[in-house]
Amino acid sequence: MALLDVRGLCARHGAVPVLDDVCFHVERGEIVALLGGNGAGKTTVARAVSGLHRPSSGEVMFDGRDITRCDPRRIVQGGLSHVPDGRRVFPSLTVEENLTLGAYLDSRRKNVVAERREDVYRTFPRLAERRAQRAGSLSGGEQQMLVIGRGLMSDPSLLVLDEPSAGLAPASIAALAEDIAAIRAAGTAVLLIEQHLQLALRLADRLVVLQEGHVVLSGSTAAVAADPRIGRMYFGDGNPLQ
Amino acid sequence: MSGGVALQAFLSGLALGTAYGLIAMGFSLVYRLTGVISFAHGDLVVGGVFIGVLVVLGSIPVAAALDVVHSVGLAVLIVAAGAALSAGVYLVAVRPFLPGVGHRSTRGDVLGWVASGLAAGLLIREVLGLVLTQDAYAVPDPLRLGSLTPSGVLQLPGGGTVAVRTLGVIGIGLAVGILVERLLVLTPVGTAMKAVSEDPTAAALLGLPVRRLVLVAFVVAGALAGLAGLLISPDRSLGVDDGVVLGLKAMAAALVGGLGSVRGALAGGLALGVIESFVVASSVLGPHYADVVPLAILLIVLALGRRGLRSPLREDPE
Amino acid sequence: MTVELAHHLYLLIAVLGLALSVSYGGQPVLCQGAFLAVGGFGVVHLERAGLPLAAATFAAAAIAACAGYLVGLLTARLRGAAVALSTWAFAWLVYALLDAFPAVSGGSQGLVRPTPARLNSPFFGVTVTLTPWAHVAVAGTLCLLSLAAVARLTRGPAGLDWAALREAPALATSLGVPVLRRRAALFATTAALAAVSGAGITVLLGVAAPSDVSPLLSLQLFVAALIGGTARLWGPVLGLLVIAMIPPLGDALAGAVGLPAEASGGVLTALALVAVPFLREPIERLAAQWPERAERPREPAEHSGESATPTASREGVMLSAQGLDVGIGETDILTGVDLEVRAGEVHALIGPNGSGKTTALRALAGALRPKGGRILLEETDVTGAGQFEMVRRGVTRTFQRTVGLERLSPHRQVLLGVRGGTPVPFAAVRHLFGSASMQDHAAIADREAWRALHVTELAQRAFDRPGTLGAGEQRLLQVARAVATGAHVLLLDEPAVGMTGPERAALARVLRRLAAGGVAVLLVEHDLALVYGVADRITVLDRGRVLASGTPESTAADPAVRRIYLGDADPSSTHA
Repeated sequence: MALLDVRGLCARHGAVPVLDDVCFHVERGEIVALLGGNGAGKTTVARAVSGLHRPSSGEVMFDGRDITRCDPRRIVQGGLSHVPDGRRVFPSLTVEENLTLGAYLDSRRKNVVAERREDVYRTFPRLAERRAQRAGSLSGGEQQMLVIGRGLMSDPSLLVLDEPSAGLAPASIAALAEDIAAIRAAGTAVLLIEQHLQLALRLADRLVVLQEGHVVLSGSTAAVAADPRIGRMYFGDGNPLQ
Repeated sequence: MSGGVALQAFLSGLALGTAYGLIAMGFSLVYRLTGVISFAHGDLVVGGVFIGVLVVLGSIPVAAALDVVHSVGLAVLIVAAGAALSAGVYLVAVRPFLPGVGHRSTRGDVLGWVASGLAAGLLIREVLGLVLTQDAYAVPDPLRLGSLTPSGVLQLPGGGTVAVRTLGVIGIGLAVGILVERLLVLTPVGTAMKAVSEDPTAAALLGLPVRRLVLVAFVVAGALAGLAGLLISPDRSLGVDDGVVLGLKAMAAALVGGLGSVRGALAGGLALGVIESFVVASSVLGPHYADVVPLAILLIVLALGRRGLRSPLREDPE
Repeated sequence: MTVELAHHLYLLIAVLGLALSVSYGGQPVLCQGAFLAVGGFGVVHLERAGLPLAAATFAAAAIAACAGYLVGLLTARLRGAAVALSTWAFAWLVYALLDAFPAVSGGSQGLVRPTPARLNSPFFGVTVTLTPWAHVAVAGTLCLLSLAAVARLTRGPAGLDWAALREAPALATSLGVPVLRRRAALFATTAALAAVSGAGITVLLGVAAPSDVSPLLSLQLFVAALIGGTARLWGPVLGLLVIAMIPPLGDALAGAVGLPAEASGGVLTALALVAVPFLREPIERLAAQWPERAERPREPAEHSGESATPTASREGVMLSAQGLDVGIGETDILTGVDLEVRAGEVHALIGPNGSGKTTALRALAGALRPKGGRILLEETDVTGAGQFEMVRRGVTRTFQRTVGLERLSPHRQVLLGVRGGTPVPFAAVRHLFGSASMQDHAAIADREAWRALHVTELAQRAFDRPGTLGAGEQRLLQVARAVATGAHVLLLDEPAVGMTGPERAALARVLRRLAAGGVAVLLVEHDLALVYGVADRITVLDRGRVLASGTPESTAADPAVRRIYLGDADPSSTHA
C-alpha cells in the first residue's frame, strides 16, 4: 500500500477551478517530484494534502487513513510534514527555537526533541553553528535548511517540500540536492514540488507533471525525461533552446 | 508649574499610565496574533470591574470598606471577569470572522470583526447600563494600599503630596506588566505565540494549536484589562460608558509604542498617562482636555504613523 | 408624529450620505454623528452671528465638507479596520470637545433656538414658516434629490471610480485613478449631507444637544448604512427603517419586561449591530441576484473587427532603466539593472522565481521608488515619479494576480481604464448636471473602450457578467483595461498565468497586434514557449542582475541562460 495516495483530487479557489482529477501516489522511502509551471496547481496539491485547503472532491489517503478533511495538526501528528514555499522561518526567533517548534506536538518529551534537534544539526552543520542566531538574519540557503530541518523535527514519514530551490544560488541548490538525498537515505519519503527541472531529474524516482490543474505525464524519471512532451512543455515548439 | 506640583503630576501620570499600559499590552498582544483591532477592549476594563463589584457586594457599587476575604475575592473576581469577558468576545465576536483553513480570504472578514467588536462593546455597556443607571459610581478599593501609612499620603520634596496608593499602583502594575512581558518572551507558550504572530500558516503546519493560542492571548489580554480596572477605578468614579475612551486611549498607547510590541505598549501607556496628567495639571489646558488630547494623539499617530510596506494599518499598495 | 417623520427623513439624508462612503466607497466610517454635530451646532452659531437660516445651513454644510475632506485625506491611506478606528476615535473626540467647551455646545442642556423657524426672503418678499409638515416636505425633497443624484452618479464616471475604490484600490491606482482624492471627496460629500441633516434636525426640534449627536448615533447610522449592505439604492432606506423601529420596539420591550426604555433601545442597537455582520453575506447574495442594470450602448459603427488604430507611432526607445537598484525594506532585490523597451517591440523579461522580474516591473511603473539608477521615458527622467504620474505619461502595468471588479461588465471595466488614462476635470459633477461637453467626452471614451476590447479580442464578451468569463479571458481583460488607458508602454506581469493553450495563442496575437500598433510591451513571463513565440528581445534576470539581454536567438545560445534553465545535465537537448 502506498504511503500517500491522492485520488481524483479536485479543488477550486472561489469559483475558479485549480485542480481537476489529480491522481498520484508516493511509496515509502521514495522521492516523487511534482513538476509544473506557475499556476499549474502544484502548491494547491501540497496545501490540500496537508489540510490547509479543503478540496472540493477526491480523497487523500495517508498511511492507510483518509486524511482528506483532517486539520493540519492531525496530519502532522500522523507523520506528514509540509514545508511551504517561500522559506517561511519565524524571523524573530532563534534557529534553535524554530527547530524546537517543529516538534511542538512532542514538546513534553524533552529528550526526544533534543535528540531530533541533534539529528537535524548533524544533517545541517551550518545550522548548528548558528543555533543562537535569529532566523531572520540567515542567508537564503540557510533559511531553506532551517525550514526543512524544522519540518523534519516532527519525525515525519513523508516530507512535502514546496519549491525548495526557488531563489537559491546554484551552489545552494547543489547542497540542497545532497540534503534531500540524505533525508531519503534516512528513510523519509519526499514529495518534491518543483519548477526546477534539473533538480527533479537528479533526485526523483518518479515524476508527476501537472499542467493547468491536470496530471499530464507521470512515470519513472527516465521514462518521463525521455518523453518529448516534457521538453515541449517547458520550452514550447520550435524553441531555439532545444 | 512648580517642581513639587510637576513631580506630583508626574507620579499620578505614571499610575494612570501603568493602567493604560496594561490595557494596551493586551490590545497589542491580540493584534499581534490575529491582526484584529479589538474594539471592545476598553469595555472589558469597565465590565470586569462592575461584574466583580456586583457579584461581591451583591448590590450596586458603594465605596464600602471591605474585609480581607471580600477584598481578595473582589480583586480575583475583577481580573477573572475581565479574562472571561475577553474570551467571550473572542468566541462570539472575533472568531467567526477570522480566516481559517479552507477560507478563501487570507485576512478574514474585516468588516465582520469590526462591526461585531463594536457590537460586543456596546452590548457590554448596555447590559451593565440596565442595572447601573447612574452616570458614575464610586468603586471600593480591594487593594487597600492607602492604609499602609496613617494618612495615606506621602510628602514629596518641593511641597507636593502623593497618595501611597498611587505608588502602589505603579509598583504592582509595572511588576505585573514586566512579568507578563518576560513570560511571553521566555516560556514555550510565549514562543509559540510569537510563531503564530509571525506566520500563522507555517505555525499551523507544524501542528501548533493556533486557535487555542489565540484564545490564550485574549484571556491574558482580558485579565490585564481587569487588573488595570482594579488599579485605577478606586481613584476615580467610574461610569459604564467610560470604557470606550479608556480603550481608545489604550489604542493610542499601543500605537505610540509600536503596534504589536507588548513592551512598547507598556512604555506607550506610561508616556500617555504622564502626558494626560500634565495636560490636566497645566493651567493653560486643564481637566477639560483630559480626553481630548489623547484622542487627538490617537488620530495623529494613525494618520501620520509608519509608512511603507510593513505598516500593518496602511493599505498595501499591491 | 409629523415631527418624528420629519426627524427620520432628515436622518435618512445622513444615512444616504454615509452610504456613499460605506457602500460605494467601501470605507467603514463611524463618525457620522460628529458631522451631524457640525451641522446642528454650526447652524445655531452661524445664525447667531447674523446669517439667515438658509445661508447658515449652507455654510455649516461647507464647513463639514472641509472637515470631511481633511479627515478623508488623513484616513485615505489606511486599511479598513484602521479607518474604522480613526473615525470612531474622531466621533469620540468631537463628543469630548463638545463636553469640554460648554460655550460651543451649550453644556448638557444644549443650544436652544426659537421654533418654528421662519425662512425669510426679502428679495421675493415672502416668509415661510417651517411647520413640521414643511420640514417633512423639505427633508423628503432632499432625500429624493440625493437618491436621484446617487442613482445618476452611479451610472456615470463616478460609479466606475467608486467600484474601483471599493473592490480594488490597488488596481484603481495602477489605472491612474487618484484613489486618495476620490476617497476624500466621497468623505466630504458624506459629511456635508450629515451637516444638512444635523441642521435640519436642530431647526425642527429647536435644540442642538451633545447627547443627540453622541457616538451611539454614529453607530446607529453605520448599522443603517450596513444593513443595505451593498451599493443598492433601497439599502439605506431599509437600514433606516430598522433603526427607526428600535425606539418603539424598545418601548414595547421595556413595557413587557419592566426595563428602562432608553436602555432597552441601546441593547437593541447592539443586537442589530451583532446581527449585521452575520446577515451581510445573505443580503449580498440576494443583492447579487439583481446585477447592476448595465446600459448596453451600441458599439459605434466605424469601429469593428480588426480596424484597431495604432496608439503610438513613435520610434526607438520608449522606456529605459539605467543601473537600476531596487530594494524592499532592507533587502536588495535588483542591482544595476539596465533595460530598454522600444516602441513596436515585445520585450520579454524572464528568469527564475525570485529573480526580481516583478520588482523591476513595479519600479518601472512607479510603484516602487528605486534606491539608485535612473528611469527614462524617451528623454525625460521619470525616476521617482509615482504610479499615478506614470499612467498619465502613458506607462501602465498589470498585476500578476487577477484583480476583478465583479460587478462591472468588461465594457465598464475597460471604460475605467480610459477614465484613468485621460481624466476629465470634475467629470462626476458635470455628468450629474448633464453637461453637454460630457456627452462628447463619453462618446470618445466609448470609442477608446471598444478599441481596447477589439485589440484584446474581448468585444464579443463586452456585456457579459465578469463571473462568466474564463480565467484566460479575465487575464485578457486585465490587459484590455491597461490598453484602454492609452498607454504607449505596457508592463504586463505574467499575463498567461492560468491560460489554456488556445488562450495563450490568443494572447500572443494580442501582444503582436499591440506591438504592431506602436506600443512598447514589457512582458514578464514564465512560459518560455510564449516568450520565444512573441518576443523581439529578451532580457534574462537572475538574482536581481541582468544575466543576458538581446535577441531570442542570442539569449537562447547564452551558456549562462542555458545553465539556469536547463541545468548541467540538459535532458531536452539529448532528445531534441
